[in-house]
Amino acid sequence: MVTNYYVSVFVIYMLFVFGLGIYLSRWVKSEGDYWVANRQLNGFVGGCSIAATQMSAGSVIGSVGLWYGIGWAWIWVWPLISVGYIIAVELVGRKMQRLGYYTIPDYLEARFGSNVPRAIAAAVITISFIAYIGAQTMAAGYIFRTLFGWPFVGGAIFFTGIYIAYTILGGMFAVAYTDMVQVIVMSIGGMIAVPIILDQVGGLTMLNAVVHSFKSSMVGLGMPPFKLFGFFIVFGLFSMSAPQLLIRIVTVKDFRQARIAVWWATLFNILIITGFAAIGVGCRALFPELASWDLASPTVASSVLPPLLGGLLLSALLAAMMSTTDSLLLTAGSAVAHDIYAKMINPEATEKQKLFIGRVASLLVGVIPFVLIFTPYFKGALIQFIVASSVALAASTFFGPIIIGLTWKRATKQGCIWAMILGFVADAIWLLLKKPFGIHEVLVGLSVSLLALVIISYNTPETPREQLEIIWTKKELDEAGIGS
Amino acid sequence: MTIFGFYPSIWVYWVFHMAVVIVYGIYILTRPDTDYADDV
Repeated sequence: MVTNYYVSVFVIYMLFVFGLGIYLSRWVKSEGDYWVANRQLNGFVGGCSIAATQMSAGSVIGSVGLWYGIGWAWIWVWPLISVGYIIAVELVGRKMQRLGYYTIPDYLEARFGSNVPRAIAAAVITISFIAYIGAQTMAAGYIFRTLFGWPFVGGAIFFTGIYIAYTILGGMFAVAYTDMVQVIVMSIGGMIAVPIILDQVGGLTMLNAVVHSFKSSMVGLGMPPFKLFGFFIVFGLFSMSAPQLLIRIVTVKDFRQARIAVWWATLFNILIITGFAAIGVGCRALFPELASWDLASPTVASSVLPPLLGGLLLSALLAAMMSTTDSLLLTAGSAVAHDIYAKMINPEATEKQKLFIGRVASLLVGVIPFVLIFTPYFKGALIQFIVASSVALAASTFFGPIIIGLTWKRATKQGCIWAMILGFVADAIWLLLKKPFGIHEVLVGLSVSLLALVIISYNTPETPREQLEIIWTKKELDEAGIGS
Repeated sequence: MTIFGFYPSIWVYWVFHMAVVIVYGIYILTRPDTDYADDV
């Protein structure tokens, strides 16, 4: 357990983030303010928000644990995440900016002219994000228990209470600006630990020599290339199609700022991941016999760094979890309040009613995972793999309809609907079968989804031109030879 | 061959990831204003 110095730094940081979120709540006057910050963010804030949303408990606890356990190889998961942002913004960013909708299901309805894709997307977002939020909440409970000696439940309640409070009051403004603070803390917290660890071990070459003596693969690929490639694909595809990341494209002022946001996000990826990878591998050299890989980053914070920096690193760990969870909460809340309530149940709702329901929905999707983490599904699993299963479900469901659907004019409503349903079901079944032949479930889910999209689209009537005109300009449709 | 104790499979990571940032940064900086003309 850590001393009061660590706790003081950590508590001050938490109160600062909480206060910032509450302060920003005064900017929220409408549904547009709440879900997409009135589309007023600049590229830097948007980029911080993308990076902060990507970095979760899976990164700072789970990934650091994997760097501790298998060595540097896990770092290869990240480049495709950065490339994924770029592909997404270049393929669909311009259209998303032009239309300026609040949620990804909004785009699906506009593209395919039916509220069925909207309803399916909203349901999948809600289900998979509840699992994802649960993983973050669980990680927070473990950290508070390990470091502060708090009961698991107490830590989870504290964490849940703070992020729910600022998110439901400040909406996307609070989420984006607290994300900006949190990504800066993560970068500083991660990078500042590196020279201290290297100093203790005797330098980078010595660190690698030490972990090489444990297992030579720790300074090389570290796991079967096929398995690593599976994770590479999972996270890369998810960064291209994750609703909570894609919607960031709409929160910035224009398409130029969307590109700039993606550039900042890729830069922060490198900074943060390099720091946390060194923390994981360095921890293996200093503490080779930890009871669990997931203890690597808390151990470095409490046993290697001086109190102020240790407190900063602890804050960075919680920052990663909160900045992801608040975005998930907002996205899942928007699926319930905007996509289901405001668009399907009560289209006549006033702005005030929509805002109120948005906040209630956000509250509910924050509280439900807190209850679910006490069920058997969450107990005993490494956090990284809980996160990986929920991101895989979302990637299998959304990649085809969103990324392909917004770029391929021949995709049809029926193709989109079945791509989502079959992608989700195939992924879930493969996961429940415990990944036969060692093939990652997302490769199965995605293959099924894309096949369904292509085969069914070619066997159903083309989408009418007037529907396509919502997404594409008349010039683009004329050039593609699509008649009226 | 190792550099600072890394096998190539690891140090190539930083080369690749930094290249992504640099190349995309140059791409954004060199976009003409006309590239954004139809976005309003």
